[in-house]
Amino acid sequence: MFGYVLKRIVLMIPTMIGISFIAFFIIQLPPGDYLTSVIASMSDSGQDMHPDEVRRIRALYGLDEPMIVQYFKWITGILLRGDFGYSFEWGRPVSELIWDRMGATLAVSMASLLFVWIVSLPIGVYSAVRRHSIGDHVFTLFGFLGLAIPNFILALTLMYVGYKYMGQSVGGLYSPEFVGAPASLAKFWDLLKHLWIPVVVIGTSGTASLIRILRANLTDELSKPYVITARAKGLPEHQVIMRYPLRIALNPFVSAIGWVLPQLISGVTITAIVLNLPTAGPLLLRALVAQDMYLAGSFILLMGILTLIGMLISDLLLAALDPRIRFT
Amino acid sequence: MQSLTRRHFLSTASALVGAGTSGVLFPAAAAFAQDLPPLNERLPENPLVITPTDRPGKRGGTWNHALVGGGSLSMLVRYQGYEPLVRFDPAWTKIEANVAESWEVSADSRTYTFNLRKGHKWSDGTAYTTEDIRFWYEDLLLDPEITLSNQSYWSTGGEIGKLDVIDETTFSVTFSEPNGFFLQNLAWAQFDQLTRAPSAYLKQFHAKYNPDADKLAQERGFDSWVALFQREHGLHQDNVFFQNSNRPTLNAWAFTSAPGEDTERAIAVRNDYYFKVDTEGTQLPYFDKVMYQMVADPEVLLLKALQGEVDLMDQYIGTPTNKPVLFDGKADGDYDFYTLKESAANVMVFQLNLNHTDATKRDLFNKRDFREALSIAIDRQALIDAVFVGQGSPAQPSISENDPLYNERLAKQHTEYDPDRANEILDTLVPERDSEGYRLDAEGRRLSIIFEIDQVRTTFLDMFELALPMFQDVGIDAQIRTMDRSLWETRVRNGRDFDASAHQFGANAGIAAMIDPRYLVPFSSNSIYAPGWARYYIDPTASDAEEPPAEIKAQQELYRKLLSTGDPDMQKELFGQMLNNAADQFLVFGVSLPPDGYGIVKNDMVNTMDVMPNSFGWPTPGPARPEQFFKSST
Repeated sequence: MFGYVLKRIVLMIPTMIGISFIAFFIIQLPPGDYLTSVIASMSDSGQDMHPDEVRRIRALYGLDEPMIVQYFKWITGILLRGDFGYSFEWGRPVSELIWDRMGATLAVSMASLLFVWIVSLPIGVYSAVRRHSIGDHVFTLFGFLGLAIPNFILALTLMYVGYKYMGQSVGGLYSPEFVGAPASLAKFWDLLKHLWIPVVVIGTSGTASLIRILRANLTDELSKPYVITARAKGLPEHQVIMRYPLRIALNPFVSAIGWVLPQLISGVTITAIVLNLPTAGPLLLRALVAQDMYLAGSFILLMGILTLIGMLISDLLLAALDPRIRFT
Repeated sequence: MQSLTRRHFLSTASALVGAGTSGVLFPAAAAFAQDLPPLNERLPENPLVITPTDRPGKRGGTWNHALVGGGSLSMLVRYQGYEPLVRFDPAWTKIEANVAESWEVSADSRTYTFNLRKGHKWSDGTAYTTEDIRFWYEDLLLDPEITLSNQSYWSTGGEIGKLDVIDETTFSVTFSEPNGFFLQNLAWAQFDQLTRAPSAYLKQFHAKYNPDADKLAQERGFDSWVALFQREHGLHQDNVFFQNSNRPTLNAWAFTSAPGEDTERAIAVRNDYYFKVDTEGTQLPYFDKVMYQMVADPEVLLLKALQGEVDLMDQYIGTPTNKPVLFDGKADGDYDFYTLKESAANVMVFQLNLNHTDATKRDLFNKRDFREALSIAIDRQALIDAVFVGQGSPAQPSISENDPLYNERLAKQHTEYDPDRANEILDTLVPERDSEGYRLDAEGRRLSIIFEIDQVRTTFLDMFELALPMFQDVGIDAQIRTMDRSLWETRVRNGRDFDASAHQFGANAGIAAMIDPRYLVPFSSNSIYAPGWARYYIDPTASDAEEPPAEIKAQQELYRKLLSTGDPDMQKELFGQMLNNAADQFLVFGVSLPPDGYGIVKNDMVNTMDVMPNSFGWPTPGPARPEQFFKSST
């Protein structure tokens, strides 16, 4: 197994190089560069930049060099010094900005993941065992609603409900008076009051799809001969279900980790923008719009790493859960 | 570096703990100076006395504010960054003393002498003297390695004005030719940098004063001292300028947590050395601090405004579509409206590319009759009714009717909707038509005009929806291409082979229109209808400059003459001529003068203005003097 893990990690290196290059290349594809977007917003406020000044700033930022040279500078900085470069727009090292946002991002993501699991596991089992009961139909209805409603609509609706009927400050993770305040019980309570909206919004579609998957898998298992044998031998019903069929039906839960990690961090971008969450998504979007290439490139690189790690973890877990899977 | 590691530690820790601590990422706002010298040592000998708009107030309270996104920091000049040597008055009719105690202009408008306030101090307590002026002039403006923005008003006839430091508080600037708009340019938002470059602080990053400046820059991760120095002074870019909380300021509030140092919010606290007092001798500003929430999306800002979390706001949310929602929320949000007098020259200006690389199209676009035909092919009232709920009246880009410089011909000519007449004119210019009824140009190609539009300008898209069929009715194959801003900048602002575009801004009133006459004369990169001619005005020898025809050249010369005139009556006279010429030349055409805008202000805010101009040059609400705003509830 150790050899297997080592092999996987070694294989990650060329993949990472590929990801970093493609990411950097795609960010540079649109016409213009960071300065173009600066000039655009400056001219909106009636200012005009002299062409000579534009040239000088371009040289100052190193934007006048060919793409491949910029890439090389960036990637050697990361490999040799752990330096992800400088964000033009925020005027700070990229690594600081990313770390600033990672705390909140992981908090929201983990809370959503927990929400998804806690809700979908019992409902999925219930739906499979009591197929075509009224309860199953009701959950199915809500499941499809959750799949069908776009996240941003749900976010806007819940925000409006939060504002209109609960009188709370919308958007963000804290009310303004708590931002930057030291940790306290009141602050934690305030966080919970805000956290439920993103958690529900981000979690709904995931919950709905996991319920469907679990229900289908478990249904398949329940009619297999070993289950019938177990029943015939007189095992109590909950043991019949929990011991084997459920374990097999859990496979999709575990293999989901691989894509859930990066998706939770990047995929919730629209929700995070609508809800004004201090997570990584909005920052990435701004960076792409402003062509702040080192920030955007580093984000994408980081997400690539997360995906690869997630894949590895889920493969290992899968093998632990299901003896039929072997390391090769 | 210490605090960075701490921040890293905290954020990583919070990531592990999860939800609990993720908000405590930054050190608490730095404890503000505890042992301040007495007030009379902090104020200059002759502080500026501000007469409050309504009544004197009390110090205290927080101004709750918001910004959208990280790239919008030029907004900050509006709220806490407008402190030039001389400033526009609240009504935008004249220029007043501000940082400068007084000034004198020589009769020929060539020499300007300024007196600073004795004992004036930066927010860190160091003196603000002519040494700061000299430092900016010699080590920033004159240094070819340093990049600044918006300083072209310092040059006349290609020569930079000469600075003479007379004593610690007096200096003069002498120009080789008359420079009539020097004061107006100083008062224009963000143009004056003499009050924004603290020499004592900045010298540590300059190689001339600190031999180790290069080493310092490398420690901070920059290639050379120039790069770090640019970063620290920020005078080349508004965003960079406001991201620095270490640089002392003359402004009413100084950042303790600057935008960018924290991506969720920014905090500015009272500058204890601020140089203004109210009529009762209380040192301003009244507000203890300004707190900006950084939101990612204007819709979130709208909800926050509805909840009463924003004390004063007109940008981003003051759109026609939001008005009913905000009106309904007045009572709950405890706010009311104020009026903004729009200062743009038009809601949308159609601009054909008069320097097109395609010779056939260029020749056609340069015919005044052709532009007239297109102009009268548009039913402006229909556009106004549909897009601006009927507010406004048909007009070309021009001066507003209330202004003494109003030119009726420029404003109203060719605004009547007359498709028959348009067809008549076009029949003389491009008579041939193809089987679908579209006209053919001189080369026999279908006459198509593609308007290339920046997709963020949604009202433009709405207007084109209606205007395109009107153009097609007279046989012009008009189309619209919307594109991402960066592509638009490359294709239109920096390109020559686009057919046409549309834009707005410019100015419709006195001083502003003289400083930004983009639709009257091609003079800057904002005159996108004639990029080659504008380039010629800036630098006739540039490779991408194109020599304009005689009447355009004459107009450019007239503008140069206007800029060198100091006498207001003469300025008006010359500008009147320019307006007449612009009416003759009819280079661009528009839809309507912009209707009045609005903003919202909390009911407990005192000393704000009910009616304000909306402009970036008079940075709304900066000249309304936010330092004397306060809340009746504190």
